[in-house]
Amino acid sequence: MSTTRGVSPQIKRGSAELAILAVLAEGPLHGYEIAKRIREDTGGTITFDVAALYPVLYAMETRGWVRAAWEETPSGRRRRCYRLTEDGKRRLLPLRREWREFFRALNRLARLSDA
Amino acid sequence: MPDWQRLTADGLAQTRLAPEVRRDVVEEIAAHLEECYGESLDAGSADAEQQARAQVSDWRALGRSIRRSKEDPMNVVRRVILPGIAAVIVALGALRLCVYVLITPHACGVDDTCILITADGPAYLPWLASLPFAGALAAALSRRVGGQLRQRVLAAVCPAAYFAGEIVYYSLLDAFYWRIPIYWILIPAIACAIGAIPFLGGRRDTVEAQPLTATS
Repeated sequence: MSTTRGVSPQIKRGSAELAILAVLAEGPLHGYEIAKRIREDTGGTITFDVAALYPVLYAMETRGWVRAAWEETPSGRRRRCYRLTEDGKRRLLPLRREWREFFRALNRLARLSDA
Repeated sequence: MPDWQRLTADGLAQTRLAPEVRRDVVEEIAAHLEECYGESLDAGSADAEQQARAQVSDWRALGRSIRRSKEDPMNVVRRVILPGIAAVIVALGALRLCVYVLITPHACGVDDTCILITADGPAYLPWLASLPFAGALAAALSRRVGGQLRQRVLAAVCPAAYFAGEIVYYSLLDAFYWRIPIYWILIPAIACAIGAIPFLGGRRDTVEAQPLTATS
């Protein structure tokens, strides 16, 4: 992930799995679409370049959280499409909870909502 | 338009990946770069190519990350731990056999006999001579399942690691054991590693970079 606004790279790295799993929970996407969806849905705050996206995606595939298959787009191009597996769905639930608790705690500590 | 397949293949040329994995990775990343390029062009960017190229600032680092993320965690078990356990079993079996054949129990206590195993005793050198076979077995097993050089050596020296653990354990009970790591760890590790030498070259699970023919 690269930064376009002031969120530290460490926080972004830690949230990479959550971001990818969350967009894939809405439906299958190929790599470029995943990066584009994350960028658009976060208003450009979180962006994935190739170097950040694919190592995370491949690691998730190795762990069995996502499954990839080559598919042909309407324009005739081959794209590797990623789908969330049952393991991935199970992983997403605690991840969401952990990050929610993390941000609540951070908010209590730093009063982010007043900032 | 730049040849994104060629650019990606060249960028990942030093990354050790199986050929079919390499093909998929190159095709996928090239397609991603092409879409970035197309999007920048559609947005009217004058430096669309530079923007797409900026997606990867360090190809070698990307290659390393991809290789790590494609690695099955069970490979360590198959390539190091299981061959290492086999070597430990062989080394312990050899030690037991040497002790049984070469050491005569001596009386200690009223109705009891003891066996003293020391580095200057009759069983040590024959046992040491058997360790290269244990190391060779581990390295051969590791190589068979695609172990890399480091993994084969690690598997081969597992008997020495086992004795190191045992010595640390006993040294907590008796300070005497701190004196003997040279005879029971260092020298056995060297003996095991010597046995592994013939199996350190040759087959690997991954292949070095191969030229990729651009299909676009």
